[in-house]
Amino acid sequence: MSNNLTITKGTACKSLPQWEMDGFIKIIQAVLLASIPFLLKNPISFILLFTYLLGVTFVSRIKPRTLITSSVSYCIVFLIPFLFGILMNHFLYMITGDDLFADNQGTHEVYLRLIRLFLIWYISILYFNTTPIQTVVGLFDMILKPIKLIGVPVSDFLKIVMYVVMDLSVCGTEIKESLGEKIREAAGGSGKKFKINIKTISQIIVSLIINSFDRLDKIEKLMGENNDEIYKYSFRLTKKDGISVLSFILFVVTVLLIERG
Amino acid sequence: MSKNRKDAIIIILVTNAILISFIESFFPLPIPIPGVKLGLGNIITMVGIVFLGLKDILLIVVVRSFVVAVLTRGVTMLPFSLSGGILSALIMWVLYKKFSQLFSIKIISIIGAIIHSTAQVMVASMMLGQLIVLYYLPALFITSIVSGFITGRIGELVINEIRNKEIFTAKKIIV
Repeated sequence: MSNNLTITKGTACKSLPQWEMDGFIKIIQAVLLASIPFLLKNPISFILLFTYLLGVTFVSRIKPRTLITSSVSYCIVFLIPFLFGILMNHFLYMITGDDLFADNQGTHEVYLRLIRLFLIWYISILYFNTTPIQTVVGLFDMILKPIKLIGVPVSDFLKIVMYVVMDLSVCGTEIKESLGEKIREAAGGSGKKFKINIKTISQIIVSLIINSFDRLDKIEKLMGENNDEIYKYSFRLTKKDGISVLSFILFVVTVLLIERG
Repeated sequence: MSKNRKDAIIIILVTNAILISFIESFFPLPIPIPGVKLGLGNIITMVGIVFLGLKDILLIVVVRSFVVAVLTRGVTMLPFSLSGGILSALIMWVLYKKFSQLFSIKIISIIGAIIHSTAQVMVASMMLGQLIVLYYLPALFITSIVSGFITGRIGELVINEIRNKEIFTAKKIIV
């Protein structure tokens, strides 16, 4: 089961051997990078930050498709409701002429927030797409140690997360093989056939749920085993970490110089 | 039931929720509003509400949000999944446990979908510091009724089938 761990991390994981870095150093850099947009005022600094991130994206060899797929969530949650809001405000102002709907919402501050949120999202995507899930979960286990000390079952939670990821990697392939044809058939229906599709969809979901419980004993057995290696993080410094830290320091110094004029 | 068995059930249900969301991408909702989807993954929350305890349901929601955020959407999406997921699960649980004579699974699902969308838009509004985002609510409200009804209908069929096959009552699961 654990042999399939990297499957769910998608194609980005395949690039790891070329640019493998220590997860802890990377997370510190990611957090600092995500904080920088809140301190910047000069537009040139933002351009520099975007350029730096593009460079990181290029070096990490993340496929544009991965970024585009992930960006859909950002657009749906922030961008579309915001743009819709601006449009509605403008429309209501045109109809009523009421100052209440005057287009004072699209201020510099809001766009700055949108950019900052975009950058946080982008940096998190870069981090999670270039770090093996075992390392991410291992790091969470380490970072959340203080909470563990007060009795919060962090390890239990992370163990469940790890087994979900492993289960997903196994089931994803199985589903494609066993239910793929049925899904394609059900999805092929037109709008008029949506009622029929509901029945087919429910049949697919029922068989998925019922078949999934065949794995119950196996997963329970795995949970019972003293498997400490399921996720782990160990600090490991490489030349790549050194280069990365140096480039980051260089970037921060340049930004500081620009910000100070 | 042993802790490992309970955890194994949670793992299976979370995996199913994520896989169902993946399957859902093959069935686009015939409504041309960006961001609107059926939310079939919530069927697992409904299954949990009917067959499991509140603590287990919340664990399912939290683990699912965490895994999806880490694997696909990024951490900025975590507050949205968590707020929408936890709030809708809590309200659906209360409605099912206390007012099941008044509300069917379909109605509970519709209410859950509305709560989910509302919570997400509220979080977006707070994060952007802008109330104009709330203009999106009426559109989401209408689509939540449609998607909640469809999800509720499928959920009802799934729950009945699970009851018939005695998945959660069979000796093989509860030991």
